[in-house]
This record gives sequence, C-alpha cells and structure tokens, in this order.
Amino acid sequence: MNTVELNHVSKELKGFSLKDLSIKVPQGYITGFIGPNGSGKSTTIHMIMDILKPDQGEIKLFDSPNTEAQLKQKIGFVYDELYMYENFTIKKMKAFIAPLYDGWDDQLFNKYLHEFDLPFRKKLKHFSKGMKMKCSLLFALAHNPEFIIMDEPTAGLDPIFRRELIDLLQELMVDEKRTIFFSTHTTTDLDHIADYIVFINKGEIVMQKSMADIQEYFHIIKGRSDMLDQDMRSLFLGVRETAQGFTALLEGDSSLFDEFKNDVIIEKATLEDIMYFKTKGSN
Amino acid sequence: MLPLVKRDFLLSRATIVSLTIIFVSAYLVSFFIDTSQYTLFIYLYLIPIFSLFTLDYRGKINCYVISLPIKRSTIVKARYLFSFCYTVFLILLLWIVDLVVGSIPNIQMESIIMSNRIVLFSVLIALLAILLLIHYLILYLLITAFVSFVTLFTLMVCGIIATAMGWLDWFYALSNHLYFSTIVLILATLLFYLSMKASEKLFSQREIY
Repeated sequence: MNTVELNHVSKELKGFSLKDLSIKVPQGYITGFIGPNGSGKSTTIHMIMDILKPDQGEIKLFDSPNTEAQLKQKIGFVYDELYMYENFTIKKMKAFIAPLYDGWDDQLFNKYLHEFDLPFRKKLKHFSKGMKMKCSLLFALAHNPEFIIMDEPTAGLDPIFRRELIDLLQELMVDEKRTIFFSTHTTTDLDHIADYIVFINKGEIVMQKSMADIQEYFHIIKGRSDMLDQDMRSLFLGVRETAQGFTALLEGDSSLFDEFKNDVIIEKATLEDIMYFKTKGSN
Repeated sequence: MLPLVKRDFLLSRATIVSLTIIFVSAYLVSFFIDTSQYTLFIYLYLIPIFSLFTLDYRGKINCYVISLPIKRSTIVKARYLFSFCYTVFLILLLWIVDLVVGSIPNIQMESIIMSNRIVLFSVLIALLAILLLIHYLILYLLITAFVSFVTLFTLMVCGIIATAMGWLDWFYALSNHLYFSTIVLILATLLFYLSMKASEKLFSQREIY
C-alpha cells in the first residue's frame, strides 16, 4: 500500500512548472525526496498537504483524496520554517493545536519537549532556527502520526542536530506502519536511512528507485581521460573531466569495466554523486 | 472550531484590552464634545480584526492551519465567529459604559435607546461582512488593506454626503423604532451569513502562498 500517490500531477507557477509528476510513497518506509534548490520539492509537498492545488492530476493520501481534512489526523508535518505567530509560546501553541488531534498524547509531548530541551513559556520570536525546527518536530510527533512529511528540515542546521534528527527518524521507524517522506538537498542526510529515493529536477521526476537498487546499479568510474572514447562515454549518465582524468556516473552493471580494472577505480555512487551528474550531465 | 476561536482571542487579547481603554475614554469624551463618535468607534473597532489578518500574513499561518486536521470552511467560520463575538462584546461594553455614565448625577448625556444600539450593531456586522469577504477574495495583505481602506473611505464619504443632503433622514428617523432596527439587524445578519458562505467557498478553492 502507498501512503501517498501523485498521479500525473502538473502545476504551473510564475516562471516555474511541475510536469506530469507521478510519485508513490510506500507505507512503512523512509522515502527521500531529493533535488537541487528550486527543483519543485516544496511545491510538491505543499500540493500533497493541500496548501497548493494541482492544475492537473490527482493526489491521494491513504487512498483518499488529499483534500479531506480528517486525513491530517494521521500526518505530522515539518516545513522549512515554523509558520506560527511569533508571539506565541509552546504553551499557547499546545493550547491551540492539541485539541485538534484525536490521538494527541500528552506524555509523548512532554517526553519530546524534555528531549529537545525546549522552553515551554518562551516566545517563538526568541527561538533560534534549530529550536524552531525542534518545535515543529515536537508538534509533528506528539500525536503519534502514521505519516511524517518533512520539507528541508535540516536546512541551515548544525551537523549535531542533523545527526540527532536522523537518529530520531530511525527510532521512529521502529513502528513498521510509519512512513516518512523527507525532502532535502543535503543528500548525505539520507544515505544511511532512506529506503526509497525520488529525485526531482526542474519540475520533473528524474529518478524513483529503492536505495538497494541505487546501491547496486549506480557506480562512479574514475580513470584517465585518454581512455574516454565515444563508446565509453555513451555508457555514462554524466562525465566530468579534469586535468587529472575523468569521473563518470554509470547506471548498470559495473562488470562491464572488469577488463579495465587495473586502469579505472569503481566506487558505489552516493546520492550526491547521482544528483550532481543527473543535474549537470557532462562538462 | 473552538481552538481556532480561542487562538484569535489569545492573539487579540492585548489589542482588545488596549483598545477597550481607548474606546471607553473616547466614548466618554464624546459625551462632552460634539463629535461623530460612531465614525471613530468604527475605525477603532476594526483595528483588532485587521491586526489578526496582519499576524496571519506575517507568520504564513494559513499554511500551518491548513496542514492541521481542520476543514478550510471551519477556518473561515472560526474567524467570522470570533469577529461576531468581538462585536457583541463591544456593544455590551458600550451599553455598560452608558449605564455607568447615566447613573452619575449632573451628567447630561444624549440618551441612546435600544433600537439605536441594534442599528449600530447591524452596521458593524454589515461592515465586517464586506471587509471579511474582501480579505478572503484577495488574500494578499497589502492589496486587502488598500481595498478595505478604499471601501471604508468610500462608505464614510457616501454616508457624510447622504447625511448632509438629507437622504438618510428617513433612516435616522426610523432607526429610533424597534421594528425598523430589527429589520436592519435581520438584513445585516443575512449579509454576514452570505459573506461567510461566500468566503468559505473562496477559501476552499484558494491556494495559500
């Protein structure tokens, strides 16, 4: 079963468009949503959450149209910013938000409040970016959501908090029914935790694969420039050439290069490598 | 819906308290100097409503609220309900002030009868119906503020001209009668309800930026 399904969704905005997006977010897994800045990640997430409306296509959450407000009982969301009144404190936010969720768990709220070390009565305008993100997370998690959707939660945060967040997400996945959809342009956040990857660039889905497939089929090949003939070049998704030699991204069976194994270095491609080559192509 | 209404009260508490003091002071002053107290009140009355919208825009609150398990129509209804409650509060407050001032010996004050109060309440509700609809129609702070200001200014100028020309004499005369003020109240409430329904429809189809 898929927690989220986008079927042929298109959206035209000023100077930017999303074209024929079809995305499936399987239940019980972490799906990473990657792409460079301005590729359409936030717009897609805003459409999933019914903040923006698609021009064409349909969006389903838990097999129902995403416009049904009650579906959001099962969703915890974290956006790139905390969209909340600056003069509110966590106490006031709680008074406003907690009664809206049937599954609100005060014990869980207090646990995370303590764990994130957040002040209960301090105004949000005095919070740092990291604190605001923790605050978003606090409210996203306190009702035990089945689906957690996050839009660039680690952007601008220090490595310690990013690491803590990744650990927390792994902890949350102990519940096998839980699904996480995590958008980021910092792909290293996802290298160790994502089960599936959706890669978007310039408003189009470039790749949608399981992490296991990515690790098996994507490789970085490094070698001398003089080895690069037209036939070899055509095997690669992207090539970068420098005075020291070439680095290329290969999708497929790396045993093709067994006969050159003394002349080339073959490494597993990271998500960053894939994003780089798929975005830039060849230089 | 109650958490949303409660949120509006929490947000407006400081503004309402400060304005209550200004209101009461201005109202008391208006007993002694000949001024158009209603015009002043109407402008002051609208400040908390506009400050709520400003806070909403500044914090991109609608993005957050729409992501919560609340129907879009409920978000609109809550704002209308808050505005309605706030208007009732204001009218009651003015009534209490009148009662207190009226009970002080040696103070001459123009008597305000029940039908006048009902007409004032109806005018405020009708104004709200127009301004809230403008807000949900436009949903951009600066344009909303500009259109609202122009609308208010136009209404005020039209009111002054109509009064000066004597076109509203029948209205002022009739507003002393309870049956007329009741009809005005029913019409204003109907306008308020229709405005709410239209805003619900607009907001349920709108995109939030």
